[in-house]
Amino acid sequence: MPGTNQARQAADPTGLNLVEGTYEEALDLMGLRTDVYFGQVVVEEASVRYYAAAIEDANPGYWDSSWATHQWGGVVAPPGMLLTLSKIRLPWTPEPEPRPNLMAQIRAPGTSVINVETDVEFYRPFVVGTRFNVVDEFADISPERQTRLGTGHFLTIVSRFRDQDGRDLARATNVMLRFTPRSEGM
Amino acid sequence: MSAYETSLHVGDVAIGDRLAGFEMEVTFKKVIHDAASTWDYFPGHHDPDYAREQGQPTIYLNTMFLEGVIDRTVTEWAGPRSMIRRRRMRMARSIFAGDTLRAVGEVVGIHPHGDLVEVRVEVSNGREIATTGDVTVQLDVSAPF
Repeated sequence: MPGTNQARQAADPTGLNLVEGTYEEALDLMGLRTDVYFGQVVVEEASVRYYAAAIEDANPGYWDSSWATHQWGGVVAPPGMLLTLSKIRLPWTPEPEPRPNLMAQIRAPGTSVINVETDVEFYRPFVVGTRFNVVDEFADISPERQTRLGTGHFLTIVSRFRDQDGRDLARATNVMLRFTPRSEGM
Repeated sequence: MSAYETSLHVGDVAIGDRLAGFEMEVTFKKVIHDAASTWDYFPGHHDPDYAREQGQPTIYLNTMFLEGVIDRTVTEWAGPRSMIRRRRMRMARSIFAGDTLRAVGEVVGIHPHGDLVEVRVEVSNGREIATTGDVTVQLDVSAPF
């Protein structure tokens, strides 16, 4: 039998530190916004090419430094690296770094989470040397739904990404299913 | 025609044009490479036991990889001077280690004044459509940006 919320958090391997609560508690939290936080690294060639190698994408914007400098002002990161460059945290750093996590602040039903839909607008290319900053906002939660994976709610998070000069880089609207897997006990 | 050899202009494009797309074997190693290259250690992408507890058969590709697949489908066709301006992506099913991924696309809209083309991309896992994307791509962006 699952224990208290504290026990569930301790057992949560996702690192999201999901905190269970009621649908009504989640509704009260709508509009919640994080502080501004910053990508841990600037855009640079090594991680651009490691990701491009996974996708097997030969775009010269990622691989040809002199051509990319002429076209974009430098090698550019693929748009799919947006979250990696801005929000995802290294697994270890010499000093503890703040890990802003909007999901940990949203009390809602469900012990697991899976991405359902993303909608991203891109305003500028992600040129080498760029350091991202981002603000997340909890925009919406749906009523309870029955899904193939289990009972849950759809959460919407809106993120605004800017560079070190304050220029808009991208805006993302992300819908996630927060659910309790069918395999879990009552 | 090889990928990225030419940059399309809006006059080259018609609604209904097909994007060739590509196929990829999704090995266990590829899923791990995905997690590592995106810094994404959410356990569903590297820990088969966790994936099974979620109701999934094994580890699966993450959102950022699927975005990369959709974007590659579009930019390989549109050319190296194109720029993705918007991407909406819905993830209906996962793509698992052991699957063969297949991406295809079709032009569904053209906005000549902005040099913008809308493309629908579908990515299958070999059994069903796993992910669909609606991409707005700007063609032939003049250098320098």
